[in-house]
Amino acid sequence: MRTVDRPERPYLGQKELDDLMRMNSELLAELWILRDRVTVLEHMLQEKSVIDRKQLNEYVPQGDLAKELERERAALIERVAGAPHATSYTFESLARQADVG
Amino acid sequence: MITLKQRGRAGLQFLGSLQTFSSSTLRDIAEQDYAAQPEAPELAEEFKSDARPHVWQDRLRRARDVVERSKAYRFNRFYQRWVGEQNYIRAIPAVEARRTEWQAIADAKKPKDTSRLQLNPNLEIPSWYEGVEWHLEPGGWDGYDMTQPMFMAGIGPYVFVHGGYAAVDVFADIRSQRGRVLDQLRVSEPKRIYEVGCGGATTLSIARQKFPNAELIGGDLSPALLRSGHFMSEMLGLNITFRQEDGCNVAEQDNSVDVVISYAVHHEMPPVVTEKVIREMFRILQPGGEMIINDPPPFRAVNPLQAVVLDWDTDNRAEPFFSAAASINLAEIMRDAGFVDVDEFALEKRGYPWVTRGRKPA
Repeated sequence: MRTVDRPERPYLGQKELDDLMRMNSELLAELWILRDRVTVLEHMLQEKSVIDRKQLNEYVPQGDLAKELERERAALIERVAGAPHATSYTFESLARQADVG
Repeated sequence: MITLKQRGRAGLQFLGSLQTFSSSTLRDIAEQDYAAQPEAPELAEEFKSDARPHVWQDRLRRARDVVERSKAYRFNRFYQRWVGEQNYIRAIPAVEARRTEWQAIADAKKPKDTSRLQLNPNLEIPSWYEGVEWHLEPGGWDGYDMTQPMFMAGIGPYVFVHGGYAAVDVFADIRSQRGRVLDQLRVSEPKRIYEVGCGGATTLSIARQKFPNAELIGGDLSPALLRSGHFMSEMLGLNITFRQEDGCNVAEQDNSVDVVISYAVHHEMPPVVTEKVIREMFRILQPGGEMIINDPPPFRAVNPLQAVVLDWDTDNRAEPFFSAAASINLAEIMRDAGFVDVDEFALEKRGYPWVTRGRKPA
């Protein structure tokens, strides 16, 4: 057993509760990263007078942007839904995530 | 300084905020819950006295049963573990995304003078050290070649800066703590200073500010940390010599240094090794010289809840010797090694930094 592996004893009394909390924590992190990004984005766009809020609300992604969103969505789902199953990690497994946006 | 991409930055900032919430709001509730338990006063009395390690384990088991009645404590521990893992799970991809830029800086600023970095590829690495992935970092101290940017541009400024992990209290400033520990030295103008288990140049860089004319030497087992320290030292002109060596057997002559610093290393070695290191440091000190140690506080110096928290690191944050180190008495070990004027005290609340210092008889 490696020293980074999770201890057998659950923190919240039951292993499945720990797993659910891991999913919840991942979601909370993702939610924050997204809110941070959107806030920065809106700020930058507003500074450059590129768009207004109405344009954002009306826009429908197509083509490469739609594909990018699909790829990011899949990575998000793997990160969140996969959280209870990723019982350990290595340098190699982490380095592969460098290209996620 | 190279900054992280938005995902890496925001993710690590989130960890810092979550750890702060856990170690302040949840911790405060857990302390209130614990204080309301009927066993709390008796446990508090019991925890004030020294004891052998197996007695501490029994005390801690009973205290943990009481502490864990608190839902806030259980969630606090869950978040501490989760953030501990996520530090690396988020920081390594974030740093990898900037590898090319970091590598360019490292190549451009590569130290020309390597005489102050003395690595020993033939050094026998102690068995207790090998394979430990300290603090949940995959591969341990020498597992990742980008450890320096990972801490300097990621985990350091976004997570550790808030404190609230291991023995470090929430909102504590770990950099100023190092300076305050060095302020406790009673030797006024040391000519030669040796730091055992120096890691990088963190503590020695502060020693340089305080003692601009002293010769500074750091020893450590980890080549990666020594390289990192040397890189920083040469870049900032700190003039520090880094040497890969075992703290039980260092290259310094008898009676050759005025001050020995040991900063947060004894909890990362078995007590029997701590005893050998302290005897070795006594050997190299000049008569009248001083050794100053900062480490997490012993169990006897903190309340039972804090003791349970410290003990928790052993099995949950890859600190295999944390409990063993908190069960021993560093001041007694120093006296047994020959030190005099030995004393011990906490600098901040919850017992950390915990300073133990002693002088070699003049």
